[in-house]
Amino acid sequence: MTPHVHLADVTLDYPVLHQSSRKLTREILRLATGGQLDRSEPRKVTVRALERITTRLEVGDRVGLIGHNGSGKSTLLKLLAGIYAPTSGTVSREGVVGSLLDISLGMSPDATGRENIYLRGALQGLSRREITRLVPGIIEFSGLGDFIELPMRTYSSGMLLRLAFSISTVLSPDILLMDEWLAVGDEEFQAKAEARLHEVVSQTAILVIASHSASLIRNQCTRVIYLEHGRLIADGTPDDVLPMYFTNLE
Amino acid sequence: MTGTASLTAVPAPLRTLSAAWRVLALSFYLGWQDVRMMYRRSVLGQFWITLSMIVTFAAIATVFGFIFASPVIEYLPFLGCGLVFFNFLSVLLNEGTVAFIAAESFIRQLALEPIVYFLRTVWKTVFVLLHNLIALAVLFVFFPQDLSAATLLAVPGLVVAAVGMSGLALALAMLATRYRDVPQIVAAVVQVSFYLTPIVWLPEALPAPVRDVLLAWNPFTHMIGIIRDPLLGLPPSAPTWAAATGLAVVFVAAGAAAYLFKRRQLAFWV
Repeated sequence: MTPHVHLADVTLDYPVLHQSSRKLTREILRLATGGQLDRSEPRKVTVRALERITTRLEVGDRVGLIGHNGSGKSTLLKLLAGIYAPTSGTVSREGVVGSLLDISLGMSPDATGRENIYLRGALQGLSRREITRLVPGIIEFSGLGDFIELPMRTYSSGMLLRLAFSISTVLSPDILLMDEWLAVGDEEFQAKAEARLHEVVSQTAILVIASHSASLIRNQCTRVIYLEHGRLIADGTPDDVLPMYFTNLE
Repeated sequence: MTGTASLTAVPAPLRTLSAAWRVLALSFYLGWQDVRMMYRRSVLGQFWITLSMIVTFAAIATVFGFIFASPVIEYLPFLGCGLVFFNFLSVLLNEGTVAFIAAESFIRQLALEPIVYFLRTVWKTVFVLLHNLIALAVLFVFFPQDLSAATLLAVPGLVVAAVGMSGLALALAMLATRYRDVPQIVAAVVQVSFYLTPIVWLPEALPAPVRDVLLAWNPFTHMIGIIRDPLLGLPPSAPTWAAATGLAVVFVAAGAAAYLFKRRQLAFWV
């Protein structure tokens, strides 16, 4: 099967759970008294994060997501990743999805660098055998040397990010999701990381990247989706769509 | 990449056996890693768990030895089993209930089937139990019991109790993620249960009418009974087994139903 993501009429409502609606005791009291005691707040508040989105992402698509904060970019990324399910409409997805959203999630400060490679690798869906095969390459790329056998809490924040980056970018997924471009480490590592990231991006079948940078999108994307208030305002080439959002393009 | 190969490629992951296997293997690995990390920076490592349980036994044996003078030989194995298995089941309930809440950042960022984080907690609790079983074995060396083929009934007993309580914990975990006062309610009930369950006191010490009501309506009594009785050389009791198995079936059904119907909401609730 060729990788793709097809969204058909997708709407996503996000329940807003305020303090009082999170108390079971209160719900029970409400039920027991038939709602007589407490009418102060509406029962259920939802926010419409995405509204009737229909689009097809196919092999070769390099999609830039643009829009103001709260326009639904992150929600759409999470929907594409399979973290959120739509309230209505359908999502059909084929292919391995990978995201570079939080690359150090799940790593343990008391575990050694090597153990963290296994930990992080497992969370990324790799089998133990696959990870073992990839370990030498990851250690080499991270440039951590003998530090790899020490607990991660002895690392500087830069070293930690270098390790996390090296693990996260070791394989190219079919569908790659990013929230802004990833830049890590000191100057020397940054150049290396930049090259690796370009390699990963070029090998992935479908790229979706949310960004506030017009130049990034111009450099990386062949297609731009413009969201506003959860609605798809425009979907087209960067030349057509970017001027609609970025009013002062150079 | 934070997605996963087979789990996101399959529309409904639990439908395929291989995906279920991956969920089990991943949660097993994460749970084991959690136990190892617990005492990483100490000399004994995770065997602190074993040692602290042995110290507890020794302390109680000393104190009660002075209070009762002789019956400690009968009492201590009873108490030891009760403590170890109540500890196991209560941690399963308490930590299982907050499993999704504790995994908030994972659930928000990874497309893994969320039950991975619940099973991670279950496995971790099982690994802690295994360390406590070593302490129990030490206790049994000093206070030998009549072991026979019937002793082996403790194994299915443990499985029924563990699976049943996990089912209840899963149902509570779903509820707790939506309603944040549930963990406190569960913790309070579990704490009270410790005193209402024959662990520290022997059932014979209570007058019959009180005892029957108290024991019959307490799930912990049955769950602990089916594990402890065989270890102490007591014959299996049909009502206890029936109650424990029945409860386990109901709990697992409740947990499975809550999870299957509401698992897609978890990412919004955490």
